Amino acid sequence: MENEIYLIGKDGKVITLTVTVTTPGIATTEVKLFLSDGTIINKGNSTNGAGLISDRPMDVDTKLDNSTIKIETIILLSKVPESAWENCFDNLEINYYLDGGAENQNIPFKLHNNEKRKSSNGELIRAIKRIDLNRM
Amino acid sequence: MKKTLLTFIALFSLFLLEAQVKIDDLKTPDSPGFQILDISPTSIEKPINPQALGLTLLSQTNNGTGLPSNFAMEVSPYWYFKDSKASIHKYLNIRTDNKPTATMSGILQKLSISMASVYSDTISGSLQAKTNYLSFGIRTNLFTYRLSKQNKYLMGTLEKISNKVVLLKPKEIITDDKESEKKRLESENEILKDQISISTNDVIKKSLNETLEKNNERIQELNEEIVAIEMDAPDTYYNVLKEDKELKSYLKELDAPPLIQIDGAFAYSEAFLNNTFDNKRFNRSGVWANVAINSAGMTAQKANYNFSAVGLVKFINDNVLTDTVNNLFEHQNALDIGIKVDFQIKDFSMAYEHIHRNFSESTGVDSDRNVFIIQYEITDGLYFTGSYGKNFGEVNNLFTLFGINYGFGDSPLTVKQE
Repeated sequence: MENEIYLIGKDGKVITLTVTVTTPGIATTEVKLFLSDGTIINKGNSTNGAGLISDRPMDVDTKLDNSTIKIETIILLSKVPESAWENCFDNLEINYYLDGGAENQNIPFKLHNNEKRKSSNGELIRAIKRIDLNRM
Repeated sequence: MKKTLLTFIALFSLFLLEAQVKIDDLKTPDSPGFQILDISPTSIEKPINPQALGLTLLSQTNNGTGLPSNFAMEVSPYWYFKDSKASIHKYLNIRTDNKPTATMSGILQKLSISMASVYSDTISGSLQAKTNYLSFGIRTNLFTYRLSKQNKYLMGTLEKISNKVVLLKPKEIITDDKESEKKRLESENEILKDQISISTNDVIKKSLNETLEKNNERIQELNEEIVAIEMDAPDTYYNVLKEDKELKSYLKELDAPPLIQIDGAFAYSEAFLNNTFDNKRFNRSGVWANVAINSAGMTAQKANYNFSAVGLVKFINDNVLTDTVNNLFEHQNALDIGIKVDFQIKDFSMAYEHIHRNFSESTGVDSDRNVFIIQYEITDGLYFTGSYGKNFGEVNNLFTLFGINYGFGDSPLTVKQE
């Protein structure tokens, strides 16, 4: 359960998050921010069915040192033929783009295999990505 | 013929080994492979999203081959490749910019390839007695048109689904408190490490180290608890979502058919008299298009009923028996023109189709097919389907087919090899 690390500065830049999900299923992405003192800030959820979060501001970098962004995506494959659920799980791709931090970082972060799980019948997929924001 | 059959069986067995065939993969025999032989329940099919792997059984009897004598297999290659632009909008042809959908993008996505095997022991419609028929077919969606108001409505439905999914998240899988505590302890540890590094007092240093160790133990515990919760979370979440009636209703709204859909298909078949390879002859090939217009596509709200009209144009190259004494066949072209009207109220649908077959040569006998089709969703995912009417041809042309179709289900069906 190693978190990704995104390096941020301390010059008041706004850190933004974009999430893109590649799946024919119905995707919903929910974003939460865990500040260093344990405070949880709900950053809302996607509403377009494709799980897209577009340029969502997290906060200014001066307030985000040692915080963690938790991005949870739920995919419902109810409209996809059941015989294709397994392939949808294997082919699921989620990209996480952060902006406003240090230059030349390895963006986007990709969803790893150990960050996704599915229900026993395969109709629901849950993917969780955690990204630590650390000062450079 | 035996060699061909053995190859066919081997290929089919490989498919069965690759993917355990489930009841929900079994569907009514409407693939082009059956349609070209005029034995499917409907010859004018409404466009659908194809299965990754579909298997159709017309009868479960077999002739010692381990395979049913009448079956079709349909595969959609799209599901075996990674689509880098896959999304629910692309899959359901929904535009997100409040404009109408007028797309041809579903051609590869909805392409399916089918194979069928049928044995006829008597003359029936266009089928000859004691003859095996093998056929191959492809079909796809050529064009879809959705009104902008329906796109807008479906986008609203997707928003309702997303909000519902978040709202229904079971408390027992929410790990926020644990993650918050973990975050706080990790931050505290960073401060402790700084204090330890600058502290010169051994007693204070020891106390700080003890706190650090205690925090680390707690962080480890929290990690394990979070992992354990996340392991079972998809099943817990899924069980809650599937019980929610409102969510189920929203999901059903996404089935709203577009105003216009055009599907295209091609099929080719060969016949083997007396189960003998040397008697192989070309049987029939055809290319056709279905144009469907759905009344539900005109509304911008939930539709409990749908009236659809589907037109068919099919060009056939047929090998017609012209000399019954010497068993001589002659290639002839035919044109099928047909219409199907389908009325659906909630779980019940009834349809009537009429097709006129017109041969270009005077030796061919023009004929009609008139079939009634009913379908009823008995319970969630369990369908009864029936067809009754007159098929093409003048001999043995009574057409009846009844069956249960499992639309969704969990029970695996193992196809036993003899």
